[in-house]
Amino acid sequence: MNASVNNRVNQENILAILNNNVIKEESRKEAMIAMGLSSCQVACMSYKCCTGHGSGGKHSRHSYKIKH
Amino acid sequence: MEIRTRSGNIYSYNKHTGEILGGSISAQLPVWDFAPFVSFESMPQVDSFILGITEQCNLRCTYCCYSGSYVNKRVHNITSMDSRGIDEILAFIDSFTGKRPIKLFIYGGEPLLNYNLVKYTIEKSRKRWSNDVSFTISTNGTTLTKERIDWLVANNIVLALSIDGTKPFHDSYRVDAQGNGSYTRVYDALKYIKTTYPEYAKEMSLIMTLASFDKIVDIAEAWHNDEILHDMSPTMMNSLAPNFSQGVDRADYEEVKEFYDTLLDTYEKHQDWVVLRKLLESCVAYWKERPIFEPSSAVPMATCLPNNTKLYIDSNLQIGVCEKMSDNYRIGNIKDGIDWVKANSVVRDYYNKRVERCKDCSAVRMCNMCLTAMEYTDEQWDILCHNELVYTRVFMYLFCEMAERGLIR
Repeated sequence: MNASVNNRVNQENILAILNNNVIKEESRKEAMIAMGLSSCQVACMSYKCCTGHGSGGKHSRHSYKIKH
Repeated sequence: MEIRTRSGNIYSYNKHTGEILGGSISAQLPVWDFAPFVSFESMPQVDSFILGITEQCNLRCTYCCYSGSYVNKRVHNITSMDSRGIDEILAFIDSFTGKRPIKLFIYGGEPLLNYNLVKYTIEKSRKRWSNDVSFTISTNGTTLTKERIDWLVANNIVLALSIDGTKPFHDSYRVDAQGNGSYTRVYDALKYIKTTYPEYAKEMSLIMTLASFDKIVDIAEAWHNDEILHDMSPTMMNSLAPNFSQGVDRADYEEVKEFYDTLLDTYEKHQDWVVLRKLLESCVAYWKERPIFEPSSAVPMATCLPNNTKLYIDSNLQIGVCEKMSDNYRIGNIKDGIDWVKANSVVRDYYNKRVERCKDCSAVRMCNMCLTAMEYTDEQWDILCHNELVYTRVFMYLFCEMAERGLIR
């Protein structure tokens, strides 16, 4: 990636928390790419919002990202 | 995408690698490379079927998507499945998927208005698939008698129960046709379940819909102070779908950020308030769970089809992608199966709508636009995309702020 980062601050510990889900296994990468590399599907499956119990609030467009 | 936390630290998000970096990204990032649309003739992951047993409901929740105020959504009516329809559905499922266990989600309307048919569905399914089938019933909880609860528990049926907070909040929205609140009946059922079947209660889903966020702190506090609810976290918290017939506002980043800032301050003082915890965890879940790696080639567009795990079957035995999809987008029926031409057409149209629109978007990997958006016009998409970006950025801010404050679990 041809991007440079400036204004670095001492945030190493925080960045480790913010970048916790690094995918290294090629098979997992392939599976995620096949699904469009969408974090919504990954989060959805982890939190079982619609694929998990299939019947989330019927009033929301999509059941995950909450908007007030 | 860039945010600044209260401590003054700047964080940037690189959509190509998925990383959050300290500081600003000064270089122009290349456009997102979508792989071409590929047609499909199977849905190999499907193991879940949502059965809209009935389109009738004994409540008239003010925000209901079947209230008639939403475009392209049915209204409450007496259409229901019957036992013959159930037999046909079970046969269809058997022919459609070899995956096991099968997961059946019994849905409505209010499915327990047709309790005998629910029992019939469960008994027939068990006869066909033995222990290779599980059941979840979405219910408003108003007809959950002790006798019914005993039967559901004995048969290991999971309940997804709607509850929008304690009485004054719940009864503001979840009312019957005469305007009477439903809370007391729901709460009594929940109390019976929790006191009689505490282990079963832990497996229940509590679905909280937030028609308004104005009272969220009050809801959280009242929930925390309730003897039955205080240690039962909502399983899912939903906001309402955009309703363009009533107008949809363009969100303002600073305004939304300020709201969540205040909420976060409250949560920091009351970290045992499960409603606030669940809400904030839901907001940052996308960020926390995002897969971090850079794809080496073009990426297919994220749509549920054909990698979907579920299908919706409505009371007229028509098949939809999901229960949230507009009624205008059915992709088959029980008798003839999936109409692959139609299913491909829906996804292709969606692909074409997004491929240009999304290639420069910094939130392309964080977006939850889905096939349900097919019913919207280009102008409506402009608003939805704007709001999606605003909320994605606010929740990135929230994620970073929570991490700095030690609030990410």
